[in-house]
Amino acid sequence: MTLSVRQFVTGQALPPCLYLDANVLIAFIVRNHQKNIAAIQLVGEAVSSQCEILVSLLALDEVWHSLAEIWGQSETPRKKVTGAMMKQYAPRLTAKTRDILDLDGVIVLPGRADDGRDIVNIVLKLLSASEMRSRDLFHAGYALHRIAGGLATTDDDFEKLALPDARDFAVIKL
Amino acid sequence: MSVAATTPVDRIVTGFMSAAYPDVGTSLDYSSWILLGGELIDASNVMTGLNVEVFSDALTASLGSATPTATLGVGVVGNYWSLGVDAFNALSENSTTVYTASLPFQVIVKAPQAYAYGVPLMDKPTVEESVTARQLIESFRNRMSPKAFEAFSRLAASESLGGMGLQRHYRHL
Repeated sequence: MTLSVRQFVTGQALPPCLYLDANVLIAFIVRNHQKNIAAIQLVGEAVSSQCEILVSLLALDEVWHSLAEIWGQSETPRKKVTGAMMKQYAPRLTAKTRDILDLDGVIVLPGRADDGRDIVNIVLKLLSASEMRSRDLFHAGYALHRIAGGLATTDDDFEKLALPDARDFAVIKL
Repeated sequence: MSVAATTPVDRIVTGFMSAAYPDVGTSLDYSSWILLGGELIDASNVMTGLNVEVFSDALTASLGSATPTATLGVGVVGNYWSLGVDAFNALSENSTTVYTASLPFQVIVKAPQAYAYGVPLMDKPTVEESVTARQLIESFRNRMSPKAFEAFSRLAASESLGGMGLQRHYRHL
């Protein structure tokens, strides 16, 4: 089994199946994010090279929360995200989500109702083998369950990923 | 230490790697983008060593391609790096290391020197950054389906972080 960690650079060939961590989607959307240009390049390359782009419900949840936080902060600094805010922002979140789903090659995980138990089992293996936070473990679990070739992220913690079985897997960092 | 404007560029690259880089550590907090030889370079990655080779190649590739358009300044105040046209002036009095050279390059975002001046980070991207993002987005127009490109262009760089708190929060998200 081989875990490779590499920095994304323009023109680099991407795996045919790539999981996008939530932070990549956020960096892609937020123009003054430190990694915005790199994220636009990566997502653009993934979409245009006909990658299977894996986006989990977990990632969508994180994107929604982050956007609500950003919009909320612009109105009232240090305001926490509430249910009322989510309802208020529903039209904007719906539009963003539809756009994500309209990108060529996007597949939303889990794909089947019975995938959830399998994903949990993978995450349990990762839990005892890797030193990673729970949310990161679940992102990795989604990617590995789908047999993705790699995971794109801005997070250094994925370098600690201990693969549960024999496969090649790339962590592509922005 | 300062290097005259006529110093050959390979001296500058050497300076980045042998003199400047060892002092960087992980303390670079703000991002800069520079356009060299048609390549966008993340200056924070340059500073942390990740893109030194990319930067060096781009710097070399840019030589002789155009009339020098600006002066590149690279310096350090404490553990904070600055790079850009104004960086030299901002840092020259306090820097431990400053390199300058006349090169054809364009500074896209110059957040670090905002720190050097002791003022908050820019809340909004510069005009140059917006143009660059838009140009990059546009470069994908004919590489994906029309529907996907519409979604892609609506999403990319469509939101902005507000104040300093959120910028700090999302810097390493």
